[in-house]
Amino acid sequence: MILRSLELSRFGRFSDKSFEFRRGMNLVVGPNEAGKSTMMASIAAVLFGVGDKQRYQPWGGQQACQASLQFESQQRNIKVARNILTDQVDLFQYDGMYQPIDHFSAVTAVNSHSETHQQYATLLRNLLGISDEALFRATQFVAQGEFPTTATEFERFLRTILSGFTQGDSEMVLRSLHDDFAAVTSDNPWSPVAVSPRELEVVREALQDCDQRQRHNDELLASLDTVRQEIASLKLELGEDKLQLEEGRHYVTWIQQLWAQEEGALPVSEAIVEENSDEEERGVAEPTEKQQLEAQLKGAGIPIPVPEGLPRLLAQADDVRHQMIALQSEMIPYRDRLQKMKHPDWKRPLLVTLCLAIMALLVNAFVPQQLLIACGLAVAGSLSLWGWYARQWRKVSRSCHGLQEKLAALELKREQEQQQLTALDDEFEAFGVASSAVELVRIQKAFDLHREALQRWVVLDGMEDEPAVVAATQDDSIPEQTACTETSPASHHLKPEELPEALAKLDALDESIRLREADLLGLVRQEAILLGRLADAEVDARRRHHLEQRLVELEQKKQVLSCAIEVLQDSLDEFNSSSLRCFENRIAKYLRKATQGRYSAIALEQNFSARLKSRNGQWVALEQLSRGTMDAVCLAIRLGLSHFLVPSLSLPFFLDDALINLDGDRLHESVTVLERLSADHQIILFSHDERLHKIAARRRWHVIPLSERRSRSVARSKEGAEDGGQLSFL
Amino acid sequence: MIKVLHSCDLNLGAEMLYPQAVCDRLSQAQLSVLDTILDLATEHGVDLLVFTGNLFAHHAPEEALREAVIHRFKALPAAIRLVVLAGCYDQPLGPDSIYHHADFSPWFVDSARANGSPLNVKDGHCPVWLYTLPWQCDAGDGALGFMQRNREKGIHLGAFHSHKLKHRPNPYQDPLAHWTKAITSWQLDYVMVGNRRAGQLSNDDGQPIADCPGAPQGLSFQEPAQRYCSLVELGEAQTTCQALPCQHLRFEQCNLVLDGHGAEEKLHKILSEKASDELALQLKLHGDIEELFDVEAIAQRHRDEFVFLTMVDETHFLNSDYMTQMAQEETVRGILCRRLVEMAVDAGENQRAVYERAVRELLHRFHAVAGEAE
Repeated sequence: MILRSLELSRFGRFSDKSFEFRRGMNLVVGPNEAGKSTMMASIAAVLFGVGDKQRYQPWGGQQACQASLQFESQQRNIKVARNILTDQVDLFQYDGMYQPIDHFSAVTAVNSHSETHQQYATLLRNLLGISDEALFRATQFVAQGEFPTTATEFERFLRTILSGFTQGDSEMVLRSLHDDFAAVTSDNPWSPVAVSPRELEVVREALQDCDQRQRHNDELLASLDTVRQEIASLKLELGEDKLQLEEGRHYVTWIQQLWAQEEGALPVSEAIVEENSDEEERGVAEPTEKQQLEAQLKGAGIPIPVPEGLPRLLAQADDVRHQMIALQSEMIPYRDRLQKMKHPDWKRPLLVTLCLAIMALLVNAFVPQQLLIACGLAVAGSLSLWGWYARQWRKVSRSCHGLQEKLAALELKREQEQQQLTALDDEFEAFGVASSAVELVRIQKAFDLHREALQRWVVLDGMEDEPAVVAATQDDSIPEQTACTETSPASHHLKPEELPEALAKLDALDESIRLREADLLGLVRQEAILLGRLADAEVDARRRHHLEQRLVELEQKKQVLSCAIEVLQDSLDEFNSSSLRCFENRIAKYLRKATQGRYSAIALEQNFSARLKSRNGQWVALEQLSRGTMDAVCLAIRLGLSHFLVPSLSLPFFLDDALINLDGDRLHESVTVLERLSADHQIILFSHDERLHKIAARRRWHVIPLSERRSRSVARSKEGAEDGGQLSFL
Repeated sequence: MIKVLHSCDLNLGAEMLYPQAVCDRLSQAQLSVLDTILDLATEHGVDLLVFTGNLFAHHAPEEALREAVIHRFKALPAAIRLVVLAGCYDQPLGPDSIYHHADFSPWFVDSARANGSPLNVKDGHCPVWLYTLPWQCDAGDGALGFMQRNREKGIHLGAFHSHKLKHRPNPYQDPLAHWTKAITSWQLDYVMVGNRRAGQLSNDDGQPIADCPGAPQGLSFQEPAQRYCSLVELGEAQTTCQALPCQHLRFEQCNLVLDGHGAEEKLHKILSEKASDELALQLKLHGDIEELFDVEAIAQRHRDEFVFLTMVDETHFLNSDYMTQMAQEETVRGILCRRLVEMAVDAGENQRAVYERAVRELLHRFHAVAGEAE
């Protein structure tokens, strides 16, 4: 395929200009600022568009800045035209006789993401082989100073171009991935070199510390709960004991007064009458409160007076119920498992046995001599199948049996509990309390809720009747205390000889209260200490949350980087093992032509270092080559890559003053190489070099002169400033 | 009859993991929300204003913040009784706790100091009692001693901060999940609960018996809904609870499907439409895209239009035509695209996400993402 013509309309310094090209060597020659670079830039601009729309628009021009390219091959001719400002693209396809085949028209800006752009890119790829501007520039275009001069530059050029990403070098990308991976973790599967812990390991360690602290805090919280429960129960206990102590002392005082009255010759009956009269007075003053309390307690469903032993029965009934619920919960999973257990299906083995029998019959009918073998196989198959079936049956039966036994044991326990509950229900009914579970829970709750009222009622009731005898043993149950008070007969009054013992008991109770108060103080202090230690728990929790988030991020990053490294490494390996050889062959073809057989092959190593095979069969490293040969190799590689990427087409090759820095001999060498290559690819050189102009004249190239005078007559463009820069560079 | 406004978990002075400018905006918003709550209390003429924990995010916040809050509280009308409880972050332990500051003593209620007895909030014909829990007290039996209603007469209110009970699962993040039974047994008229998340408990008649309004200002994308404080009117027979909006900045999570070509343009358009200086937006991007785009660059471009903008890219690129075409190339990039496409075919969802991120990582590093080549 060759570029047949280039038409520029108000494009840079060209107001309206058409250029024709031929096969083989073409030279666009002209002085600086004549528009050579603009011409060359227009080729990529037509195909791919330009980002800076104003760059090629003439000064003061308001009309459309347009350019078109016409490519020609044996089968097909293509014309691509673009309005640079609007990015309106028209792509015409003609057959060999210039009869239209297809026309694509769309607006596709540079780096556009539209669907039409994709269609256009697909068309370019199908027709010209390349739709990627960067790749096109890396292969078909050679600008000033783009020939690598050292072996390192050459390797880099090769790596970049072969990676397909013209701005990135696969090795650099791989290295950057490895660096990032190593910054995340010290765990490196690609290198045995151990490094110090990285962020991931540091975060993991910090999280382990947090876990430890968390466990410690949990233990502290559990201790705090226990301490608080102990404080609560101790406070309750102390409250009750203090009340009893007070009552006991009150009673002792009262009974001592009574004895003193008796000793003072007052008839006991009078004293009692007096006392009774006092009691009556108090009784007159206090029945209102007592009645109120009775009404309140009865309203709450508490039987007044409280039967002795009722609280104990309530507690027992509660225990038994809890036990029954626990047994029930234990039985549920066993029942579920039992229900889910199924014996293996007998129909399938039977079916298979029948099938085997039928097969044996069929064998008998068609191949009687094989009957014995067939029967043997059928019997063996059936026996193994039924054997398996029997094993399964036994296994399921054993499991069922085990579960049933466990269920029976639990059921037995449940029945025992039920019997106990029935006995308790009888006792409840004996007290006149309904034995339903709801009623009992209600009474229990009422006891808990009206503890204070009950306590008060006991006091009032005791004062109204007779002071209660202080129980010898400490009983912490208020209702029981009430019952005790209720049932204490008058004959149980303290006798003078029992006084020291009663006083000793009261002192012992007093001492016990004092000791427990000290314990309570200790527990309160312990609570304060625990709370102090827990003060930082929430800060720890927050830190832990942040660390967990970071850990997830780092784990994800590690996974992604690891995947990217592996995929890239594998891709490079695959490229090296398969495509590299093919690429070597393509380059070798151009290399032979460019060097007239001086070098016949190229060997590319995995690190893209290259060696050339000389005529005498020796391999020569790039460092040993002359710069002229290096240029030839470089051209061969570009053309080889172009052919490698687009094997079906030989695309034109553009060089913009690429040979300007070469000295006379090297210029001749390079030109000779290009001439040889022009047999396969159209070569278009853009140059202001007079030497090249002379060579072109001598060797009859197609020369397109760009006149300085003519170029000055057209309006100056911004591009001109750049060409000016090129002049100063020269 | 009593009117109560309650809020919780304002978390003033919270440390946040956002960029500094965003943190500053959020801190400002928190103070504005406090102003709004105080204005609402004044406007509705409430008798009692309660902060049920975590008013501050630290037990010893900075002096400037402390003074700003004290100044605001002092400006409240005298008729409003203010009560501040400690939460899990502004715990009252330690000598440097803000609640040991003299200025806070009229407002802060320390259960330990009150020896577990309820606080008399209002005297008179119908006295009002406020029961509170000690710091870090569990929902179990220990709470009963502090919160159990101890007399019939009057209005009995409860208030506590529902801290996380780590040994008990709470999959629905319901702040009342482990407290319902306890609250019911306390037999209080109304319980104010503190937690970042909202929740309500009603009796059989549909009357609220406990309410947790949640944090009045969201601080993360896990708190996207409208935020409130609660206004409660407690009468002899009826309790009404009203949620009053008070949030200043809104957190929102959006899912956006970007299919095919032009995803970047579509994304720009959506972001321009949603732009608001009171919105923190998290966009989750889905769909099968045809061109890669630099999510971070786009977010950067629109960042000034939002309080905070973040995007989570979950789009699929491995199925794109771009990848298919590139996979046909006999270059290194062609081979790696081919490999990734093939690997993703049978991969599970998580592994596929890794491949998606890996392809982006590679193409970004090769500067092959659209827009970067220039």
